[in-house]
Amino acid sequence: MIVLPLVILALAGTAGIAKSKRDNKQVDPRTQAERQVIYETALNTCKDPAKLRTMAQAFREQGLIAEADMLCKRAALQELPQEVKDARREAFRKGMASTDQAAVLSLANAFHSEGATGAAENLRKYAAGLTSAEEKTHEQA
Amino acid sequence: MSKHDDRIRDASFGAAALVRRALPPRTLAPSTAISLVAKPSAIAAVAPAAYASITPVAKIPIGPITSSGKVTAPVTSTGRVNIPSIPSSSMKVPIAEAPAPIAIAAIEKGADTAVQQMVNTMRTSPDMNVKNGSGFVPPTGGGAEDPPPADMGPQAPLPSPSAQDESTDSSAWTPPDEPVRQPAASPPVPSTAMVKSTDSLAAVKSTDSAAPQSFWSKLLALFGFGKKAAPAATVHGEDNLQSMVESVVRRARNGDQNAMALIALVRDNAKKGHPKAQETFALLNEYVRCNPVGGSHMGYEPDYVALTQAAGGARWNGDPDYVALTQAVDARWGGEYADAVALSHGPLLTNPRIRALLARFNGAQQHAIVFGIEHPTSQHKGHAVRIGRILGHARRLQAVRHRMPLSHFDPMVGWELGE
Repeated sequence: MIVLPLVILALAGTAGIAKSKRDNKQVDPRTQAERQVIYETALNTCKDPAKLRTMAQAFREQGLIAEADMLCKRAALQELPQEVKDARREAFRKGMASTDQAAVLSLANAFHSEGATGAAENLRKYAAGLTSAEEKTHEQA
Repeated sequence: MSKHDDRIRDASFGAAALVRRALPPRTLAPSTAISLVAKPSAIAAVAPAAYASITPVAKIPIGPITSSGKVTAPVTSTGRVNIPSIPSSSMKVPIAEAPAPIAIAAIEKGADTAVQQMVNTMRTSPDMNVKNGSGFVPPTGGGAEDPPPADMGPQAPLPSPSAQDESTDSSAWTPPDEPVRQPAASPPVPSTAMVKSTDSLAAVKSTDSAAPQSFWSKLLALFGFGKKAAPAATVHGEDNLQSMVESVVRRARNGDQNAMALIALVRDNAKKGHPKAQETFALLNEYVRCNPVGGSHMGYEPDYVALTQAAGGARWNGDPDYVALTQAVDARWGGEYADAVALSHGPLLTNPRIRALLARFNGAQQHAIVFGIEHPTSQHKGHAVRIGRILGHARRLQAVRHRMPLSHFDPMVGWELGE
């Protein structure tokens, strides 16, 4: 009777140790770098939704959930309704015309969360330019 | 190898074609000649009244300019200027001096057959007049490009295509009757030792006293480092020494290292007690004290000085484009893109406005600015190209706000947003 709880405790401990070992498994830095290059290349150049979904599946199987979700969102961009696309284009133009840095950055984050990383990057760059231009104006004043 | 590794390898191989291609820049895409007059129907749909001024214009009054300052092709009718490739060296403002005799002598040596042909044509046809100092007029039907002269004053007028015809200006240069003379050898770099009067610097020689001396030999003779110039030469007297001092200081301030070395040499010999050097050094100090450098331009490239002067001129003339110019030139804060963002919130950068801005610069600077406008992602150095890049970015930002297709701004942005 006393042995049974000890056995259960030993089994639980062994499972825990095995799980922690599996979780702490280090990915080869070279492999990690290759995956990063593939991911960024897919974001910057790939416009084929089928390829994007294939790569998303591969990343998901490797446990890279965030990257897989982003690739899936980018694959779905072309399948949006026309009115949604028009609204997003209009929002981008308004963002590039705005002088409110905070609003531009929030718009950039929204685009990034939807998978439009290129639009997000351009908006962030524009917001950084707004900040520098304001600083310059204050210095000259 | 595990099954998972196999799957990721397959995906990697499938994506290898993507990886092999060069990664495009994530910054603004290379310019595809953004024009505010593109697709007027799309613009007209939402064009504000102020935007109606953006209409196709006939010509920009500049054309592709060779390195010698000649316009060799007419301007295109679309208002775009065909820009030849600009070398990677920075654009330099020509020094405000007349072409040195040594430069003309070097050209007369006949660097290539085309130059020699032109020289021969001039010498055998005294009726063909050539404007001295503004480069050779190419022979009719010739296709060879003029070699760049060593110095070209910025005051030389920008020749228009019609100026390539033979002019009948009575003050034009006519070739001499005597045969071609070999130019005097350029003097070697003088040593820092004290120089005696006549026997030293034997390399500075002319076969006869009447032979013309080079500019540097005259300069050295003035400062007591070479043979005195012949009486027929123009270099003598206090007034001429003063003008030489001004010239040397101006050249040194523009970055001429020979002039800087000469000033250092004069200083060292003045310390050693050379009387001529002491007199000259006193004149140099007097001139420098009476003519200080304006502003903090020390260490900047010469074209930056000229560009800031142009901006200052615009301010004093009450020109509304002063803001655009100074924001473009003064790049101490924020960088190029920040300047472009600020510019884009100003007046619309239409073609007439760009032309008005370009009119404040000389030919080489105009060239560089237009190149920068058409290639805003270029990496060429130089303040004029920088101004062009800033203007190019600002125009693209304005065009995005005014219904330009987003794929022209950035192809990936256009794809993402469903164009």
